[in-house]
Amino acid sequence: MTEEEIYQKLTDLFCKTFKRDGIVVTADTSAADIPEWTSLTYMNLVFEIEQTFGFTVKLKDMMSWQRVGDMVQTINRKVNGN
Amino acid sequence: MRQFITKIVLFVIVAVVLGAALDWAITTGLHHRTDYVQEVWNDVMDSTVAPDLVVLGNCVAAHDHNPQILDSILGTDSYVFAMSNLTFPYHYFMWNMLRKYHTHDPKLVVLALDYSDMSYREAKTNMENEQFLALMCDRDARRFLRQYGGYSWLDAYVPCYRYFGHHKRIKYGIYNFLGLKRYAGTPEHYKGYQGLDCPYNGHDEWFDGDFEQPIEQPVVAMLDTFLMDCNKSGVEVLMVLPPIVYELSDRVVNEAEVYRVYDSLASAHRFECVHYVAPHWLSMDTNHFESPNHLNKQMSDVYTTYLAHYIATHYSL
Amino acid sequence: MAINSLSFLVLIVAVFVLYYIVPSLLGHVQFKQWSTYQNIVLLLASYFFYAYTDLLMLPLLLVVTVVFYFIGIGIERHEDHPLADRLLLLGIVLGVGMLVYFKYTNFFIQSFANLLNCCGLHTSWHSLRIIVPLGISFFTFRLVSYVIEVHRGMMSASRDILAFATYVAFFPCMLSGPIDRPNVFIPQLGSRRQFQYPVATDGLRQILWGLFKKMVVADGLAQYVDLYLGGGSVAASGSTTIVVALAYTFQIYADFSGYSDMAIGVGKLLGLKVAKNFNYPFFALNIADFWRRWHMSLTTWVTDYVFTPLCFTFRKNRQWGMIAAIVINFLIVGLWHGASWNYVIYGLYHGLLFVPLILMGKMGVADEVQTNRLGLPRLKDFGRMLLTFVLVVFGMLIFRCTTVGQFTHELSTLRHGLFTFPDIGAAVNWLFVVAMLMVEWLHRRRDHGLDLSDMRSTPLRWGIYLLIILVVFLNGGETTGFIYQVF
Repeated sequence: MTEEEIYQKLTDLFCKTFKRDGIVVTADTSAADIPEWTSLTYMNLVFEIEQTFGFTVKLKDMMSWQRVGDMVQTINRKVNGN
Repeated sequence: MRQFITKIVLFVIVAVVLGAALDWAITTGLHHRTDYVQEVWNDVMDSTVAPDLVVLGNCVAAHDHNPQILDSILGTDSYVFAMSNLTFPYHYFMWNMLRKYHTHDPKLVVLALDYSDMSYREAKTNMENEQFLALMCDRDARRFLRQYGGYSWLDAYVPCYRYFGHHKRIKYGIYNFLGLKRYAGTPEHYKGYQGLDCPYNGHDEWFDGDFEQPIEQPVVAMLDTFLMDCNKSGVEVLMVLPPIVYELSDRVVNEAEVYRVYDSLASAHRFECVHYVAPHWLSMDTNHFESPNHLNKQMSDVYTTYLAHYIATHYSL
Repeated sequence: MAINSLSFLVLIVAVFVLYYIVPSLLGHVQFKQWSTYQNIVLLLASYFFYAYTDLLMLPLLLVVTVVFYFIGIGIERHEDHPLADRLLLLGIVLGVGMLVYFKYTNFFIQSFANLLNCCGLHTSWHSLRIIVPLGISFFTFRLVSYVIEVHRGMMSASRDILAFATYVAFFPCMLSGPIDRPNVFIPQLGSRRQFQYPVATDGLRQILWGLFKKMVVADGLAQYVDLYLGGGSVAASGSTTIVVALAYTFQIYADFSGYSDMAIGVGKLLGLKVAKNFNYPFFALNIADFWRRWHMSLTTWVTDYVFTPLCFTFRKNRQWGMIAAIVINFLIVGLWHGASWNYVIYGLYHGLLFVPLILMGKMGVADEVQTNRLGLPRLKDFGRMLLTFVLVVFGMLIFRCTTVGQFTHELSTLRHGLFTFPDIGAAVNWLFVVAMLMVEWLHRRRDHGLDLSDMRSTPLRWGIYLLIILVVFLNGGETTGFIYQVF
């Protein structure tokens, strides 16, 4: 799976969990950019990521996510093994 | 950094100057206040009274000696200068303050003592400690209160420090100073005397254990000096042990020892020491008392009459 | 040694001289270790401060500091190895275990004995005489936070035991917090702290504001609150109970935020950024917002180390998982204060208040309060603020009642005389409460209530300082300890 594909899928997930269309997801997107981003929706997002990409997120990984770029890095590692 | 420290120092100077002004206002204002303890001190420091007979002592002196009776029987002018719950060093302090502010020496000093008088007490934690706050403007008072009263140099020299937390004193002082509202009240005393018009309140739990009173040698020496001074300046001293309820006397293990100190010092200076404590009949009935140490109003009159007649027969005033 | 005492002033002046003035006088001396020197000054002052208050427990503090220092290094050395997890567990068990042992043993003994009594079994169990070390709730949380952050890789383990020990024992925050985070605080100790005039003066202003809140507002209300809630037998009418609950809420806020302001101010004076602890909580628009503004160093602590992991664990259960997480989270917040049923109920109460917010999806960051032309909150927002405040006041009543019996008693007073004129105590105290609220409302976007850094006129600023000092002098002096000092 290419990084582009990951971003594409993430954009869909973001729109779905935050219940808003037209969210643009870039590497620098963070909680501050999305008003709907709360602790609950964030947990839902993590759950959706696990379902979509088919792996279990570790707490330690999740804690290190400061922006979407960090998220993508973890997904990339888990899915593509690099 | 230099700017910071300079500004801090400047600020502290401004604060201290303003504090000193406030302190002066409160102290001056309190001087106009006429509640009991403050008014007695005002009478001392304003030199407004010049009695021939002075009663010194703690609260026992204040509640047992009625100057009205002394004056009428002896045809003299008497006054009770007392400080509650304090011991001989304070009586001596009062005496020194009297002599500082009055050129007129009394002819007779009635020194009312009890079993506790040869010990130290701290004025700062005393129940009537507020009387000392305004007093701190006097250099000798300051020295004495720092030495014996538990007050620190902060109380003595930092403006307003000693008033901190004494909300009522501050309020009365400022109001009186500004003349906004006179906290004068009705005088609660007559020439330092306060009669107590209540039934006996001595509870059993007051008497549940024996106790020993310390006899501090420096205090004994102080009493010795006092008597010597009086002798030199031709002031007569009559030491009295006013009535104390017998059930309290019984609890003081070394009562006799304390009284022996008084007796021996009195005779050494050729003064008298008269005992009204148990087994004197005045001390043997709880109905005579308001509390274990204080006679009630009626009996204080009886006792004062008794004492006045004793003075009349032994001294010429 | 209370932070508002004269002895503390002497300590802080001594520290200031050694910390800044000695290095600046010896400025020509090329000494690379000035930061170490400053840390030694801080550490000695901290241990002196702790020993002055609680000499017996100083050895305990020293031992746990050393133990956690090595646990931190161990965790880092065995990164991504099961041993690191085990060491983390050891750290957490040690830290929490200490807290449980010192604060909760008697509660457990008593509760079990009561339980058995209910079943008709009589025990001869006695509560143990355990002396609770001062500040234990605060320093154990600092230690636990440290091992977790190292384990999460958010910071590298400290190799400077001096800096680490200073973090654990930093004297202004020792007895009542704020609970600083190691990844923020320890790096500040790594370099020489230069004196900064604006920061230091702002620290002094914050200390003055803290003094006002503590010595005038909190201490002024203390006597009145104690009269009715101190376990005495003074009967209160329903209206009085309501006013007393209000008074207690203002008292605890003024007391604790006053302490925090002073601690943060002292930190600023020493060039150290101490965690913010209060952000004008009475202007919160809902309970979630309130907890983001009240005792913030504790709430962020539990959010990061309890709530988030729990949410993460329960993530499959969506909002119900979150509700479970928040209730457990607030039970821990309650229990942190001490082992007593009132704290458990207090925690539970606040946890349950979150349920509607979660179900409505309104737990997120609340909006700014909308104001009208007069600078006052709009009616709708005022309503939300008021509702939040009322819920908080009720919670404070639970918090203050030491037994369930006392709480039900307080509630039962509400049945009588709800519409009689209440005993409000000394009116002047309410004047100070209003003054505090007004100043904080106007300065609600600033760092603290007395942030006057943009006021140009020196005479005006000095006038304000002198006025506050005068008010403290006229109304202070009823010495009472800090409420949070016992936690």
